[in-house]
Amino acid sequence: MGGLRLVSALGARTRPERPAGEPAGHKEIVDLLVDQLPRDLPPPGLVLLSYAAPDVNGNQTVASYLNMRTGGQAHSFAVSGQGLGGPFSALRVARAYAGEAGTSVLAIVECRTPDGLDAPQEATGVLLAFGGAAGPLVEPAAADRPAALLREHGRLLVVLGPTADPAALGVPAGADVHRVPAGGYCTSVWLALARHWTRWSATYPAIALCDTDPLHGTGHVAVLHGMRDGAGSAGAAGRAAAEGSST
Amino acid sequence: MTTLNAVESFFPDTTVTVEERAAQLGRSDVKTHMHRTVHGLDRMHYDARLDLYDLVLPPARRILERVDPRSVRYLLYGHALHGARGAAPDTPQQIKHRLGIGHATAFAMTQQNCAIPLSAIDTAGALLRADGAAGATALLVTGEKPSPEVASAIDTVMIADGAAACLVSLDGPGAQVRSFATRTRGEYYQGLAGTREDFRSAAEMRPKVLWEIMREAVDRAGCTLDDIEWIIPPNQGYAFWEGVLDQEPAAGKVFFDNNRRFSHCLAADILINAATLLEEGRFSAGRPSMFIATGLGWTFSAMVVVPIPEVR
Repeated sequence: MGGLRLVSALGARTRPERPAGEPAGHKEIVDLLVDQLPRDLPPPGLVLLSYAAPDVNGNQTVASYLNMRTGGQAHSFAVSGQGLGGPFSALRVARAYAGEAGTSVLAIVECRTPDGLDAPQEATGVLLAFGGAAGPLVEPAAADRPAALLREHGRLLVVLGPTADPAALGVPAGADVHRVPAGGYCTSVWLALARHWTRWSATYPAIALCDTDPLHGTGHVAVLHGMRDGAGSAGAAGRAAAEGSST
Repeated sequence: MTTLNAVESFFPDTTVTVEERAAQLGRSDVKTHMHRTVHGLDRMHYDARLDLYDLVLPPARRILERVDPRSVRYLLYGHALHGARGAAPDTPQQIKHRLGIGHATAFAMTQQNCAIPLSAIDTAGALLRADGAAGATALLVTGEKPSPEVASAIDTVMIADGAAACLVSLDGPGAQVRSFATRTRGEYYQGLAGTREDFRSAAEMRPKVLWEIMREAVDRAGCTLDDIEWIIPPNQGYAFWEGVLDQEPAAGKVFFDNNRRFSHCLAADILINAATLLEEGRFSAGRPSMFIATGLGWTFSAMVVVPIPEVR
């Protein structure tokens, strides 16, 4: 298997209530994201939408809409029902299809949160585009993977979500840590990646994205490595706003 | 190769006639007549006292009784309704824990409406292949319990109670999945909120796309439509399939029996129908059959499987 390689990471934020009074839903976030996509991105063979809580705007099939907006040739569906772990499972699905899909895109969107959590401060989204030829490898990972990457590369950035439990997630001593401020849920660490990608990829040979779901206590880890083998091709940041603290 | 090791279905004991269900849903006499005479419905299972878990857990439990639950690496809940009126966000986690497979990675697959089970089977196979873990399986759970208001609002079909589950593995003892073809027409993403013109053009487009994906599926499977023993669609009524399943070479090999006894069970129909064919011993060993699925939004999928009847 050739692996999943990141070719673009884009972020978007918008106020939950837009000036017209119409709530910002998944489609509106997807529009902000797709408008930033590189024009030379090949039509994807796989389009995934991931979210933790349903859209605010009825029953629109936004995965199909995203498919249409990115070329209309993809196998498309949504991955959800796992809290903030949904995007990590979506990444696992994207990796599973990497060989046959060619290019794939994953949009992670949030305009509301599951019961028991504070509402997000903003409607947010991240779009990750993957290919098989160049860019860093992206992998869902077990908790021992960050420590192995630190040993292998000598330097590692760990991006912790607002509720991440570093001890339970096995964050290795000696890694640099970026803690994402509170305010979001399933998009947190992915927005940070999109926001800081250009700088982080030039600085670190490996990055671990780690989060712990406050509802279930379940930890999730994804890693990116191989940045110096062509990560410069990955565009980033887009409209993502400042994260507050930064590493 | 992806294999379906086991398929099980479940229905509550209570049955109602089309007319009784129509009264529950507030359907007009004209619509009720259409459901019976045009769609071919007769009876169906429905019990208002059941909750979602009463419905979806029994077929999954029957499968888990026959396998080592520790082999289940993924629990996929494939559901049709995906807005706020659909399943609660933690439904897959609830299913996983109630089934006693807390070790599994559980998530929902959705946003294809009733086409989702075929994508879920394909995705389960892809995940197991990528993991490369010998003996690992994925459990697909389907079945929904929409509120009376939601069931009433979806008035092109008559939604009944029914659930199904299947166990997916690689190179297992069950039916082999020989191909999968899918097409999404995202211009219809608004679903039931689409315009009258959207519905008209979608109905015009549907036969052409269905033929495309059916031919693509048999091509990929290395067979022809003439080789197919059963075409197994969801129970959305006869009229939905006009121009395709009433035409050669499909006509005469379509499994419609469950229209009149189960009606439309959201996202579960196809597996329900496969379970019926298995129970009734109507698959010929080694002969390909084809699942077809459609879902608002619109997604069309076809999957060629080679069933092995003795495996349930």
